[in-house]
Amino acid sequence: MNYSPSDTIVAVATPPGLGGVAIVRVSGPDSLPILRKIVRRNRGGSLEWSARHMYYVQVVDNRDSSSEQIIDRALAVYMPGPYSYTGEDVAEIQCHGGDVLARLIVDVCVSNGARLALPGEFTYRAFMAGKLDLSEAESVLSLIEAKSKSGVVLAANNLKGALSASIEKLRDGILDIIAQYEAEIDYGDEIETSDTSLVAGRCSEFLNEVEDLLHRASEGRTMAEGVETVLVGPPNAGKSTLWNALIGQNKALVTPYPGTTRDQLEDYVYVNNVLLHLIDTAGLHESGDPVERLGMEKTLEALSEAELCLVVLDAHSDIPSDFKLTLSELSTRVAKDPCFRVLAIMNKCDLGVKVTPKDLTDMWGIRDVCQTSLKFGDGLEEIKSKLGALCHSSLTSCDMAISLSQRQRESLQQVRAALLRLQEGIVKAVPCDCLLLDLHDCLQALNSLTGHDVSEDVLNRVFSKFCLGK
Amino acid sequence: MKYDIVVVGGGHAGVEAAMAAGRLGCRTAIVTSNPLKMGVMPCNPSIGGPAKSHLVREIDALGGEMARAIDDTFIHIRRLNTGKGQAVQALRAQADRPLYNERIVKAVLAAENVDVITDTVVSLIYDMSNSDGNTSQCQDKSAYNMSRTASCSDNLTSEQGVGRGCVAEKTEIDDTRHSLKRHVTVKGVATMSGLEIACGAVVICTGTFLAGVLHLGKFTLPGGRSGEAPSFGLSQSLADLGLKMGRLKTGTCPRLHRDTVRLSGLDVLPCSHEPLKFSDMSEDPDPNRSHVDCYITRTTEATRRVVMENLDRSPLYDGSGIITGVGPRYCPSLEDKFVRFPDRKVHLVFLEPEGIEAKEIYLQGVSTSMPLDVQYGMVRSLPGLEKAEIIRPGYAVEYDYVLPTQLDFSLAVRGVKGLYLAGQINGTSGYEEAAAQGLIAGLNAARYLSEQEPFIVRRDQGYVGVLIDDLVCKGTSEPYRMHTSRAEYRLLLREDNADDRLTPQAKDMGLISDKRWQKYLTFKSMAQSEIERLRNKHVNLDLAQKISARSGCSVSPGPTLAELLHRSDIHLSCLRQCEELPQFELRLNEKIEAAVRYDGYIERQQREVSRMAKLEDVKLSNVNYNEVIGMSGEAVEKLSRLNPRNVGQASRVPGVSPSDVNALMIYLRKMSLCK
Repeated sequence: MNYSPSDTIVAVATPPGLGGVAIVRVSGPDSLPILRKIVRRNRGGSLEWSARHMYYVQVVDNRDSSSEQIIDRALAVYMPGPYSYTGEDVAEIQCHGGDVLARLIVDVCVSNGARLALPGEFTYRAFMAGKLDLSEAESVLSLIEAKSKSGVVLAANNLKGALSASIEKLRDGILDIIAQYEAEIDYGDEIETSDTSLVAGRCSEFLNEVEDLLHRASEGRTMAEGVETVLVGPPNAGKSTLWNALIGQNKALVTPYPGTTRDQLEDYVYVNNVLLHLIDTAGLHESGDPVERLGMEKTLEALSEAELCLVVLDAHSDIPSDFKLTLSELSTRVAKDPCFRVLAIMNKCDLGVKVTPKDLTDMWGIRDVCQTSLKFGDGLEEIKSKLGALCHSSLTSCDMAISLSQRQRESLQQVRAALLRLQEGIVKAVPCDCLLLDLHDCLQALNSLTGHDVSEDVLNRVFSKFCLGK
Repeated sequence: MKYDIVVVGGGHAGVEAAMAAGRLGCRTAIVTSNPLKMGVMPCNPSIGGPAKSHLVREIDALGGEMARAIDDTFIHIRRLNTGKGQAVQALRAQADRPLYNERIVKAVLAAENVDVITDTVVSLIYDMSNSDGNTSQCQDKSAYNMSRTASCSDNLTSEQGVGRGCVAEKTEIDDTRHSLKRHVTVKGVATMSGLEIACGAVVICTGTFLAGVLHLGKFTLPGGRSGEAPSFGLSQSLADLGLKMGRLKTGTCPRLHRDTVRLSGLDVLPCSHEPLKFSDMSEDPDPNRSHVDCYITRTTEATRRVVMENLDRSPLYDGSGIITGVGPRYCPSLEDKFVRFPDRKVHLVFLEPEGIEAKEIYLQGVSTSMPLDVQYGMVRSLPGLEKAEIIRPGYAVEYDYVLPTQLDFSLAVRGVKGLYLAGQINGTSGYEEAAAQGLIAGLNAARYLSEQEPFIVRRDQGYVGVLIDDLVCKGTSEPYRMHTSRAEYRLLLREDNADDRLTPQAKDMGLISDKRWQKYLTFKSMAQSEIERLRNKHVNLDLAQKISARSGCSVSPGPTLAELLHRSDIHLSCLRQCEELPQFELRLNEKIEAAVRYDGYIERQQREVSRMAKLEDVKLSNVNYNEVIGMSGEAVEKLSRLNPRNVGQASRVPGVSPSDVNALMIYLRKMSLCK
């Protein structure tokens, strides 16, 4: 990363794609001069640019000085530093939506002296100016990445510090125990030795708390990133029909953020208030032999990361023997992982039924089954409502869910690992000088979670994950 | 008169400083007002305790005197923290107070290259070169005169330096940017009797004597310790050099007459019967040696009432009972204990005889500076002490110290060549802390004179490294006491491996005798081969049965002996007994057990050491902290003033938060990108 702080940077701040409004953000010392050059007062005359006042303006393309062109009528605002997102002078132009127009304005800004912002550079500057702490910065990242409405809500929850409060509580508790042990060591004569069973009790309290956070984080992740859903089935069972039926009618309103390669085999879909990240393994089985194996591996790989599997079967013919392998794989997974869900769709029921739902339950433990004739649209509503029920969050409201970045999740898992070691140590009667090592590990992991203690590596990772414009 | 090194003061710091310098071949003079009181224990008559005993072991590993002296003179010793892990396990020995003092005096008088001069240093003599290169010799005459007029009664029964286990309170700290006069070179000292002693380096270890004031209730009196005049001149001399000084307050407990105390009915704290000792060079203690028992009593409701009713008469509290200034968080006075921990109804009080013959009993846990009548009330409310007579009341002493952030890691004053400080003058508390600093200061003064690199102990090498690093990087606003929790690599800094950590360096520097070096090598190779043996030998059925029978825990055949030792209820001595092998010395047993038991944990800590070493590797030079975006004002101010050498040090400065460190790292990366 080469973030040169003296440049004025520009980027489209809103996600590309369809939308009513797009925002072009400029930050840096030349923000106001650039604004003056490319924005005209709507009714002619010059603008005062009072701080943080919104003006209705014309945006002009001045690249050809002989013929200035009005490219949009827009709203513009100037926010001098340090009272801005980045702490620098910031200008924002809210233009009409669509990629083309916003990019055109960015181009004009660039030819007037700005440079394109690097990924995460706005937030980087905000962080550097002390506007955000690290966990807030990461919440902004989730805000950008949020793909569903719930996702946006819970990213905002984090920003308000709901997560910080939970972590702070944990830190407090851990510090309490550390302090107790340290005091016992240095003032053993004068302080009664703490009851290890008491510490063990607190330790399991903390573990529950951490497990709860991790659970809420995984719910949060589901809300923000969608349920990882894999579509499997033998050829010709009707996967594509189902895909089209789901995607065609319910295409997610917010498209994935840029930078993601849009594989034709995956998409986001919003079904009965649940966001699914749908991965189609269709086609993988349909190629010739050598590829078949690879396809199988790919399917299994996708399955291993999935939270939900949609199995599409042809109800009027026998299950192909090679697909039975996949089904056994699924049933093992169901047995092992209580969170893994499977919905079987017995398609082509209009042609007769050879395989019954009972067969699936008996042989592979698959309990949720829909009988459909997708060709005629029969059973689609049933699929949707079953999907909704299957994926409905176990949490009472999305207020409970939290959104964690990959790094935060890892830290929380480190906390859990340290707590488990501590618990084991207490059981094994490990002396407290060693127990303290685990307690300090715990504290350190919590600190890195809130950004109290982060190494250069962590910073690098955080900032390289930010997408353009924020 | 001319010496290589002059050590000012003959307390625990001064003694170690002078003897270390002497061992390195420097002609050294200790200047002290009373040579008979060298190494006196003015406060608690004991040495050791968690972290402190670790320091004593390190002093021993570096060839110091303290460990052998206490081994020769203790009358009570026991092991603390036995159940809490070997890394924090500690020895605490109670000395026969007069004997310890005598033992140290003899050692100093017999030490090679060390002379003792009976006098009081009143000022420093130094060269100051101006920017044009001219030099002028300075000596502050006014300070000299002032201390001449201060009377100096030499009361043989009085004490030297007060500072242990005691009440202490920050009274005033001027923590602003200091303006040190540059290009100063120390040339000698001037004494009260008019002597000028020329020397190449001076080590100042004045304890609580600099501008000392004693407090007993609201009554105050100038004094370095009970019955002795304070020293004003030297303090002025240091201030003239541009050094920023602060005030600290510390206190001590009342002593009772042995014959007025009823011991029957009190809990006994017996002396350990194990052959415990601090120094590897000491013989195992004679089992027939006389020892004493200590006793425990407890505060009562009456004690609490006496204290609370008289709070307004304590110098630590004002009329409204609010603490003035920031008290130390550790080792509070009894009045502090009652005020700050109102929920605790009972506080422990230890009765510690000061010697086999001594009439005095030290009342550990009742540090106080209340007026005498209140002290009587407090003491007599304690079970067993209903008729106790106080021989010496507890009191507090307030004294000058030099803000230790002005030192470098060799304990030299930055910007003043040849001037070293050690002990309470650096804001520490405790004999062990003082002695450890004295040794380092003395040896670095000697190395300075022979133009060698200073010897610096890293934080992962010793408590003494943690101590000095903390003082230099963080400073202190209360008397600094060593705690194991101050050491982040605690599992590496054990009593049993102090020699492994420091003796090889001591050998290289010439601090230790061949005999000690041979002993170290023997220990090391014996430990290594035994660890090897334990890791390779599996327990067979016969041995398993023997071990089960002897240890009382069920042992099944199969695992290696090393695996067996991971259980805290099985000891090496037991294994060797069952194998019919000769027993090792206690210390060797500990060394081997720790190495086996702490295996994985030690590895974890070592990984942490190397992780942190990366921060220590990021050097800081000429950083304009005002330019660091996102750094707090406090951090900018402190780092600008302290000018740390690397990011690791910067990260340890209090007030510098991890996010400040991040901001600094980002700034450094930005700067390197801009280049």
